Amino acid sequence: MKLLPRLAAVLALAGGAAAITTVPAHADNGDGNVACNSGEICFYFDYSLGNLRRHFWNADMQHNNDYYWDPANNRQSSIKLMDTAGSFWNRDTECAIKIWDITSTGDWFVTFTAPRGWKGDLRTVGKQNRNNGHSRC
Amino acid sequence: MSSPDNNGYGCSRSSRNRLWILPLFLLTACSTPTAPAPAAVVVPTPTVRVQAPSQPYDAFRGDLLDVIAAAVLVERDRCMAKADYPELQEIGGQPASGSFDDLKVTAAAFGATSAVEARRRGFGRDVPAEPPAVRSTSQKFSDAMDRCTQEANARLGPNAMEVQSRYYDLGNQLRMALRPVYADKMPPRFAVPVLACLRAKGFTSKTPDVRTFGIPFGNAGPEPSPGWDKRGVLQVRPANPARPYVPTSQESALAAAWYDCTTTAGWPRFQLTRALALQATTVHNLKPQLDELTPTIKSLAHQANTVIAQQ
Repeated sequence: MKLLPRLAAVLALAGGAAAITTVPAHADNGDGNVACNSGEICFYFDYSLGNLRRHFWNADMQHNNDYYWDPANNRQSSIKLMDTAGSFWNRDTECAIKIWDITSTGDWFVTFTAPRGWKGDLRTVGKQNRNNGHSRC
Repeated sequence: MSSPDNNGYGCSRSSRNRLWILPLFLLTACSTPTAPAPAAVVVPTPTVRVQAPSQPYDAFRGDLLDVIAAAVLVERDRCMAKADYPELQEIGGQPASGSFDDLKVTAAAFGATSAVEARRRGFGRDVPAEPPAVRSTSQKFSDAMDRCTQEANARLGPNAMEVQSRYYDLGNQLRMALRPVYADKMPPRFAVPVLACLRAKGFTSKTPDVRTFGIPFGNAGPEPSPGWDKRGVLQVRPANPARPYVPTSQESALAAAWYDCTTTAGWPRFQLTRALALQATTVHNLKPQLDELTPTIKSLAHQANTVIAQQ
């Protein structure tokens, strides 16, 4: 899917996507390389593993503090990972990854379990690409 | 926090070789009547699955997917060791558990179940403990992983990968069917009394959204520092302990009030009832897929059990 429609969706979400926590950005960016390498947990903004990406080694239940990396321009994007992920690649060597969402009433729930090696479009997870965190195993 | 001999999952690293006991128990307790009972095995405490009342989603055997995944790890790591990557076998495969436990809905799925718990938890979520991780940028390693994963699955059956993939999809479909229970806004017949109750306790907002009461939220503590050990072309990171979420004092107070007011209004009970009704409808709608795949998953899990026992 092209970037502009996704950006429109992000802006539409922005009003209701207030952060549940206030922790500053942290340093888990996987190995820092553009490629999604063995052991990494990789989120992408586009539906087809496109340009904007965010890699992790660890679990993170605070996606509101995570921003995509834009390798085409070699800089951090201003788009948050929370509720915007379009595709995903689980290259964790040990674990299935659970993707979590949180409701306005404060309930956390799993939206998707991605087994080891799973790669693809996250639209099946929810119409709004909802994600607030991910956990390993 | 985990002790030096504990991987953060409540079991010592030296006990990994005994982790096959759990899959053995699950399989024999829940599936083929011909499966022999494991002799001289210390049976662990029965899982929630066995003890809890039955629900429509019990027809989906996510627990067996975990057994299969554990066997694939064992076989894959054995294959990788032969390919000159013994590191995975050395750290030991960490069997997944509870990949689909959330399909079993209880009152706890819809927030705290007591005011004390609500105050302690706030509205955040603990970061669960994590097993060790392995990383590599080596293409040769990546290729070996792909090959060994395929071979490990092939040992379980000719279509093992495809069947697992379809069963994961089915589990995620079941989960998606419950999404409205979590994601839909609170209807006015609950929202009006809940907001009035909260106002009486000093928390004012126009919408039943915990983010609109103007309170600061807590966090789950700092990200663990990597601490990677270099082993050949790989780097290995030990297990991370769980990181508890720590709410702010205002958040704790709101959470306790939220528990009181929503429970009095009957909101969690409504959610649970709705979830169970949706489960019944969804199982009916997906019965052909469940009937097609579940027997094959049971068969694969039986084979997985054999593989694990042979390690």
